[in-house]
Amino acid sequence: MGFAEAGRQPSNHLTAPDHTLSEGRGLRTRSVGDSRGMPNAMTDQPSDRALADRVASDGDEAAFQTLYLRHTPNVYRFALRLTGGDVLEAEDLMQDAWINAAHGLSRFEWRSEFRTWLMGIALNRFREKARASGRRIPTVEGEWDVPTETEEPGKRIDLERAIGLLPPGFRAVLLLHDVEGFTHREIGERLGISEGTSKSQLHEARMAMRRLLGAERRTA
Amino acid sequence: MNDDELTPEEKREFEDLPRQAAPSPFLWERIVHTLREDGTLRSSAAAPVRRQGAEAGVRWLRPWAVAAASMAASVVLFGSGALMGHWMGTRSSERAFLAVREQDAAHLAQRVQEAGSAYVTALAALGDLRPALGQGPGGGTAVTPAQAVSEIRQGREAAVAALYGATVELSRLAPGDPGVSEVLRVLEDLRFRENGAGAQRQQTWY
Repeated sequence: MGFAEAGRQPSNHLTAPDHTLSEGRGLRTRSVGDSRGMPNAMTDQPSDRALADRVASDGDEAAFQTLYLRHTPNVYRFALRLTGGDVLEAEDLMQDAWINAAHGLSRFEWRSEFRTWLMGIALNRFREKARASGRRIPTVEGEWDVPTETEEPGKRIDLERAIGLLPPGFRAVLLLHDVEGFTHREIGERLGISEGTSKSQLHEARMAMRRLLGAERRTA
Repeated sequence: MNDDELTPEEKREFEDLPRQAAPSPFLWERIVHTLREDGTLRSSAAAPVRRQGAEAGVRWLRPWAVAAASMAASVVLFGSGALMGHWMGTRSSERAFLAVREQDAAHLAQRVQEAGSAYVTALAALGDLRPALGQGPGGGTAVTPAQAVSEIRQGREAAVAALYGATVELSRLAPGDPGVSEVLRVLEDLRFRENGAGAQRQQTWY
């Protein structure tokens, strides 16, 4: 359904959009259009910025829905991994992220892609919740409680499960760098740590991941 | 291998990870409901989103029917979610009951949506277990296929019981609604068939 068509029919009820799934392969997926608000000439889709402007200025729900459909599948996958596969916690993160994003659209300066910004909000909420629940996310080298093997020795695990078994802080750095393609500088800004700390934590995270996967390869 | 760099094989594994996932449809409802309530979104600008692949001739329901259907679905999902949560043993039903009773309408609506998400997610996970049963003990599950089949059956029974209980509550909420009466009749027939002639038609809920 085209965007223009979507905007013609008003509705007062809540209609859940479908999430069209595809398996991405690149380290980063590009948003439609660019951050200056230019639509993508190939698809003629409105840019994130154009949609965000409509939401911020007019409360345009159709524009918000388009943004939601465009970015939720990617950011939700990130949230799922961040929470170690906890569906309810991941959905709570997404809910908070979208609500905060909608409230903050007029203040967003478009120095990053919309998806990156949304992901950052979800990450911040994850850290806030961890703090509130007393689960401190270690940010200093040496504070990690790293699993050395799976709960069931010899049981095969895959990469997804190994990521989920990492301590939350390790998981966050590994996800941001190796899955989402953030630089150490960007990770440092988002987690409030130095680039050097980000690098050392990534190193530790990869070593922990290899130990977890090693159990699999030894028994395969 | 340099420990600070990923091997080509590891890079491939990372690149092969799925990049997207679909949350439950209730997530959208929760978000848009909140944003409408606080005035961030204007519902008059909303677009009815037709599910992709749906037939072109779908007609939208009238507002009163939508409201009734939404209410019915919410109550059914709330009751179902609560019972499924009980069955899964993740929460004390007594505690959940008291917590629900003490909440106001806005929180209750949110609880309905959250419970609905939990209910559908749990059922979907049960459904996903079925194909794995043929893999045997090496299929990555700690339980035997016989155990899993038994647990799935328990889950299904709990799900139907939850639907039934919620529909009873819904009929109290919307007495005389023919749609609710029809759903209630179908569920009663189903429970009657599955439980035999001695099945109780009245159920004490919690």
